[in-house]
Amino acid sequence: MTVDEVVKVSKLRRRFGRVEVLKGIDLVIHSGEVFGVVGPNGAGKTTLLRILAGLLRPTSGDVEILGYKIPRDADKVRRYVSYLPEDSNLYGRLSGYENLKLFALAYLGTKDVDEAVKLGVAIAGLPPEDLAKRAETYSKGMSRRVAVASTLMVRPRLAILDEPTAGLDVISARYVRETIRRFSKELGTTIIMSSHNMFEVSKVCDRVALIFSGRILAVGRISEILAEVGAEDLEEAFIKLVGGGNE
Amino acid sequence: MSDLYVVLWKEIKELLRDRRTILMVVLTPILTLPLMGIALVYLPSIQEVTVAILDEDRVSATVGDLTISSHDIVDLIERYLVLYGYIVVKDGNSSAQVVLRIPAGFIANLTSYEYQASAVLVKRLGSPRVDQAVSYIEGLLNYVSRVVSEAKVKALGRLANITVRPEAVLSPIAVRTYLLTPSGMPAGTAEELKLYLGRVLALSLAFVTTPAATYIADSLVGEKERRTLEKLLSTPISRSSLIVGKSIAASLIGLVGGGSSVIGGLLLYIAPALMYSADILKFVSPEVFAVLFCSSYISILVSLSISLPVVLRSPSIRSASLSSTLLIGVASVVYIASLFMNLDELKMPLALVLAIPYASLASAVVRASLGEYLKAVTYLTYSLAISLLLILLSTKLLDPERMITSKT
Repeated sequence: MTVDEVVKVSKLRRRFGRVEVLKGIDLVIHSGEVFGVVGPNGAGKTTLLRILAGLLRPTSGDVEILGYKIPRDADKVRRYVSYLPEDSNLYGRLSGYENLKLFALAYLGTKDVDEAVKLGVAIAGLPPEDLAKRAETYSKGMSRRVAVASTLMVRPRLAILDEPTAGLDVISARYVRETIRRFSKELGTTIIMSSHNMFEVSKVCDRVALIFSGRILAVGRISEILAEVGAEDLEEAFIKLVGGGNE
Repeated sequence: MSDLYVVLWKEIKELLRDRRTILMVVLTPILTLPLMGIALVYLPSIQEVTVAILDEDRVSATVGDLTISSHDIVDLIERYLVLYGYIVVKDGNSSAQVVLRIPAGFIANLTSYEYQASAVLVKRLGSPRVDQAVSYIEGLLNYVSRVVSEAKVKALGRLANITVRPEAVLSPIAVRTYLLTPSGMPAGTAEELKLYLGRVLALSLAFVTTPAATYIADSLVGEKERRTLEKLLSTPISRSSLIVGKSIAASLIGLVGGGSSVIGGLLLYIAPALMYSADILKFVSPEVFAVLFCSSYISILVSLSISLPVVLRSPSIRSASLSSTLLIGVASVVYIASLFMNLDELKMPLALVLAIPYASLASAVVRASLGEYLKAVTYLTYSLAISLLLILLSTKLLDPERMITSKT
């Protein structure tokens, strides 16, 4: 693993009972890039991201995050990796501020908390009076903005965002995309985000992996993939790669 | 340590804002215990029961120095039953739950030296208050029987020209019962009543078990259902801090529950006392309430520590709650059993029941009400140790993969 490599995955397999969800994934993600994991529902995106976040154990294969082996060093990895699960909610009885403070405390202890929360407030982009309200009163868009902020504000070496815009309206989804793009550059954080939205990925990500039925079909810059497959956009490339069918 | 602080910070903030749970924990013992006192003491006395007394004899007779009539007997029973709230009628009322029939010839037989008098008592099944009426009537007839027997003995003594004391003939064996505390100190009915109330207080522990068991289930599995668990597990917070922090927060519910249990216990004493202007409060012992408070708190620790391993392996809040219900059932059985027996005096193998921390906690309250504080503290310490041990073991059982991937 080179200094530049934040994630290195080799021959990764994961089974749930008789079902093999990941069937030999090979992947390298470099420092500072926004990397997209793209595929339809059930492709294995969430399982891959959970393994990278240290929450699931691989059935076989090698996974290294920042030079640490997963699952052996999962406890150490969690200090440097911030993860936003798909559809995760805020703590409803806590305010937006308190939700930000909770994750700042979890990652940073009691030092630098105020600075992190300040950054979180900037990332969330919500008025102070809204952040002072209990999160149970938030719309889905507001919740997601605070959740994304809580993931990025702790300046993780690697941020993993699972479907960060799923279920959001156009305006909220656009805000989240722009936030990811902007703060990944400003904070120098490596970001992995999953999506089944090809348009979104092409807007935000430096490189992508197209994943289908537990296998990576293609990985690289979007322009490289399009040229290699002979497609005009990512959606067409994906359809061509899976042979025009569906899972 | 800072991990633990983070979990506690979150849990306590959430807990303090969960006003409904706190309200339930506070109100349950405060409402139910005085109600239990009222139910035990007052309600049975207001149930309407009709007693019919049929005097078919209506004669009087003399035996020795005593002149007695069926009217005297009926009058005695009627006055006594009316005093205790019964409705007494003197006709063949078909709706009467108890019928006493004094047949013709009753007084003649009662005052004779050859025959036994027979009264007929009929009761309809179905109410403890009816049983109580029958018991009163039997007691009063026994009293009359005794008075007549004494008159007969005296008369026979005079006939035989010997000195006769009726009790020497009728009760040649006198039994004198002395009450002692378990430590051998003289005791009176006050101590008996204290013990009885102590057993009722031990039963009150059942009320504080429920909130803790359901709270810990919700605290862990509920986070999954509210979709907050996965992100929390992905943070650097250690598994042990997560479990210990949540347990401490749940035990705070225990402190609140323990406090309100003590208040409820006091009300249990006060409610019937207010009704009957009785001075039951003189039986209140601060030490017993201190032990009750500790037992309530530890009962909650025990509940959550036993719940934890099950909850950690429950896929949904429903299954976690059902597991907790089972636990609450066991606790209730133990606490109810403590109402009727001293659990710490059972012989082997039943003595093993004391290994169940709930049994030890109930015994602690009962022993405290008997003034045996060393035993009470021993039982409290044992239960506390078991619960802390189980919490520590549970920190090893938290498997994030299982919690995340199990279906709700």
